[in-house]
Amino acid sequence: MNIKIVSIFPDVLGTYGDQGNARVLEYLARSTGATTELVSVGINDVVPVDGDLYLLGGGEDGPQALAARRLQAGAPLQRVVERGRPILAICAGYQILGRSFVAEGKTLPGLNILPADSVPATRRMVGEVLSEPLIGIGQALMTGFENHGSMTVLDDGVEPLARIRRGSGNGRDGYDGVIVGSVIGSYMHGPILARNPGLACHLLSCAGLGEVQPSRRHRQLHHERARAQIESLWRTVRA
Amino acid sequence: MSLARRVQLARRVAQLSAAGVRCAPRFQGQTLPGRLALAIDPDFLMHRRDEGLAVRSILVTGTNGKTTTTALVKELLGPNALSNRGSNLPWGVATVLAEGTSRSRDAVFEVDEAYVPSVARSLTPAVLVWLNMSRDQLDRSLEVRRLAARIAESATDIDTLVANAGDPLIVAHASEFRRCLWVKGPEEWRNDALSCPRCTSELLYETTWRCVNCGLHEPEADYQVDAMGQLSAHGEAIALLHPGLPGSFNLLNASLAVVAVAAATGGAVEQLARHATVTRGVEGRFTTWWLTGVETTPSLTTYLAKNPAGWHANLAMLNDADAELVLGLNAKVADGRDTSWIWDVAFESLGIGPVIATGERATDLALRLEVAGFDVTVEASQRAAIRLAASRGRNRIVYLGNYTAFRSLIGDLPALGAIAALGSEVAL
Repeated sequence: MNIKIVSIFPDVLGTYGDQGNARVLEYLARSTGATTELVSVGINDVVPVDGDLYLLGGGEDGPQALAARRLQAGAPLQRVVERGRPILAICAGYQILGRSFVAEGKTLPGLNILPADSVPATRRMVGEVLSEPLIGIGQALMTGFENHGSMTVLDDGVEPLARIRRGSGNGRDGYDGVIVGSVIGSYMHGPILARNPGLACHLLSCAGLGEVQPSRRHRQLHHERARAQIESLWRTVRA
Repeated sequence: MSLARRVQLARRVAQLSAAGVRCAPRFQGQTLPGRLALAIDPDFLMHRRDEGLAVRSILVTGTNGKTTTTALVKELLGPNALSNRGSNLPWGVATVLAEGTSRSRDAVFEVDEAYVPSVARSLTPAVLVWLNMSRDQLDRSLEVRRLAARIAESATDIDTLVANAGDPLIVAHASEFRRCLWVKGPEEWRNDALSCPRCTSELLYETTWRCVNCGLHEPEADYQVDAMGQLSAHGEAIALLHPGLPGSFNLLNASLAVVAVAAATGGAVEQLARHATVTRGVEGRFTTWWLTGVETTPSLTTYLAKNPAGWHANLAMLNDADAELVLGLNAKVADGRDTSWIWDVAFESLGIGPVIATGERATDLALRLEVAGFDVTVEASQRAAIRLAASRGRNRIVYLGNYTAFRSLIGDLPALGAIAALGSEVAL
């Protein structure tokens, strides 16, 4: 089995370490005996539409606007969605997939893959996130680190990824991210798949790899970060 | 209270408190007097001019290399020059100015990127050295592009900008400065500047860089240094640099220091270049120690790097070292709370071998290294990690840590019987 992982524009959507998601997926897939091909698509390159799994990361306003413009030409991600392949989009990448987002003060059109709009919040949302996933990924809790100035408003009835216990996530609704068909959006860096082995395995299963087991150290990191967040939450409650 | 009285009071209180905290931990000694002086007189930095104690100052800013470059400039300015050591916020500068004697006519201060405009407004420096801009501690600083724009607000208060021609983020914001001297170094971290900082189109890197759309381009370098340390002016070789510090990035730092001092003092670049040497490392950076408290008396070389660009540059240099590698990661406020950036460090390009991960976030680092193919051992206690490395037979240890991890290791050194190695100029 060969898995083709496509990382979209890590050269401009790579400010927050989200390329780590691709590295984690490759590592996990190989541990099952599968072969992997990681395609890092540069901002001037053509986006291949025959990948098994797609990743978008966070970036600053200017680069985010550039990435959105490039992805509008030829609509490659819409074709990926039609093929039902999983897409994981983080932060600026998540905002781009919506109907609209705001960069450098201007409202710009998104790719219209997610029924959501991202709008500036009154304050920047920065810090650790503790959440409960609303999909079965073999984890009761997820952790990550968010750092964003916009919040995302989902249309009524659209399913978020996780319920926030600590942090801001989408910013207003008490949830983080979104799940629409094979597309998952989230505000969590960390990177999210390093912190949450269950989600990494879930994505690989969606890409056709069957059962995947994370390494002991991968589970350890999830446990350590989740425990630290729970303890910190309890300290806040007591104080 | 009259203004003059207030300035004097601020200075006296700062001097007395400086005497008081001398027995306290060193770092507090560098900030508390300045905090008090600025609390009494918010314009304390500005008033030195009025007292006839004006200094001719050089400011050093940028993401990486501030402390090292400041140390190089201080070497060139001589023993009477005033200088801060790592404490780069306004109160760190105020502490130094409060303690400065009237003999001190020259000063060099490293300044945190966000505070450059306010410090420049107060000191009207002769030179601003702008080293580089890459991302660092995104959870508490502005994103790097906005930070560059903030630094550029200081343009009208500065005579000469001495800056890195290879950094598009600097060049895009340099048009307001009265006079620019451009220095080009051997190589650059460019992952943070792949889209044009002016128009967001793509940047093309050949021997120089340019934007394909708006025409922003690399300025012609007034000075250039190659990987061997050869410094040239407009293509003509003029001096060979020996900064006494490893790494090609330190050759660029040394070149910027030399050009800055020449611009501020009117000295000759050729002459100054011969003296741009730091012999014993800088605050423990690039320093080799002998561990007399460990049975095998191993050597330990300590490196500090705080962000992907810094780790990248330091690891490239350590790649061939025949030594046990210990990597330390913390995530305190001073480090940045988000450790995601370790996934942008190209560990995959290093020779794969055994490595010890340590510090408060050792597990994050360990997973990153495991994914990169390393054989990783986790030892959360840094002191124990060094002892473990010493037990592994090679007896040469290289440690690289981020800010608070590094500082806490330096604090642990007495317990390991560490003595700074003598007689070796360059560690690796």
